[in-house]
Amino acid sequence: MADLHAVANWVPASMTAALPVADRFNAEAMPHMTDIFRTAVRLVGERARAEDVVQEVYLQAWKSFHRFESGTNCRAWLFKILFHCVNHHRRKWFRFPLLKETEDFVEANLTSPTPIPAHLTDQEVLAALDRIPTEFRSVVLLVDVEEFAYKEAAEITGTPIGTVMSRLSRGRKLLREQLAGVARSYGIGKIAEEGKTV
Amino acid sequence: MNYNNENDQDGLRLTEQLKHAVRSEAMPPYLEARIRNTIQSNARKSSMMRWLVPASAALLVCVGVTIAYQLGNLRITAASQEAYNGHVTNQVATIMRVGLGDHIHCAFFRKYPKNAPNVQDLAKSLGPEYSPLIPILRKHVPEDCVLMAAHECRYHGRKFVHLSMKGGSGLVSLLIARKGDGESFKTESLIPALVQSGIPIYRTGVQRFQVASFESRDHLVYFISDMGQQHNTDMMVAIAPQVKQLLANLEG
Repeated sequence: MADLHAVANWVPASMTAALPVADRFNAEAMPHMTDIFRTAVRLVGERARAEDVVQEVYLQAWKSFHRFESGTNCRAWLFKILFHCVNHHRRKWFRFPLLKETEDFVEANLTSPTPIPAHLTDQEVLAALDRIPTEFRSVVLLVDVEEFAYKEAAEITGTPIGTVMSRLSRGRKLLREQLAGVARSYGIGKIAEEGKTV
Repeated sequence: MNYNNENDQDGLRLTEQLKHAVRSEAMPPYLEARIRNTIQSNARKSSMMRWLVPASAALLVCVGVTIAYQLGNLRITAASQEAYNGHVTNQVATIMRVGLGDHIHCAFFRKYPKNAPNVQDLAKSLGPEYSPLIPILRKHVPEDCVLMAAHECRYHGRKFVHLSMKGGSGLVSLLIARKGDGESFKTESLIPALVQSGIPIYRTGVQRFQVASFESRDHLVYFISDMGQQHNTDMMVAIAPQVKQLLANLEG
């Protein structure tokens, strides 16, 4: 195999079709490793596991790269593999709740919009995100963070587009609700309820 | 992002905060190198397998062909068939070579027709003297064996009466040859495997071929098959009295 470092990290898709497989892989797949990693961390909840998952994603991508059509959306293709791997590991680890439980979680937690503190740390946002069920978190990550279109997110997660839209809406509400908890801990909600100014 | 309610501004701010927070997760510096190494070692393995699989298949084919050739298959030319015949018959006693050689030459390397010939035609070609052998043989061989040839043939200058049958049990030959001068199992100092109805039965085996034989005053009789030693001997024991009687009648 040619050295994967042989070509620069970015080569226009029109030029990559003629390159050897290793160079094409290097040019099209490797630049998305950071995106894949950060999503994996949020999905599996642990950096060490995320590293293993990302390695598996890239190994599977390498093995099936001959099936990838050069010039199409390699990033979306890699995310699809990521979700496949995460689902596989989820079944293996038995640590993620089933959808039935997540629906119950939503029913129990959805309330009317609550003020969100103006100054939130990254840790507070990530902690809130990690607390919402995986199905909703996945869609929020794909659409709001990775900026995939609904259609792409549907293909990546293997769910209908309507499901993606409803999960996104619920996911956002759940995130707000979680962050509202942070707000309440700062006394924001309580003060607003009492009609006082800070 | 489309937060389509009164919280639009709040929602956009939250999305930006979320993006910032998630993207702040830095990838460990060693991960890329680890993944590249994994892919490279996998690629090396795959490239090895690409050669290993066809090479193993080729080796298996070679071994298979060699074994098949050693067992007498794939012998197309007369010379290679004769070489195989010599190689096999040299492993048995001289008097056993007589029948075994003709069996290999005339039955084993024969191309048989898809459909069995008419028994009446075979009886006719065998002549009135030896055609009674057909019912004797058919009575005792397994039912799936079909009479494929019954004729007189020559091998190495010696004349044979040869009946051959083919079926799921394999290839079966009954061969009768006139004795040469001083030719006898007794002079070869062979010990009979058993004596049935006063007839000493001799036997030998090499590769797939099992040979059982006896002698009359003027003839040597061989029953050769690939049915296994005991089964082959049993068959010979079953037909020997009637065949010997037939030959005695002919010998006068």
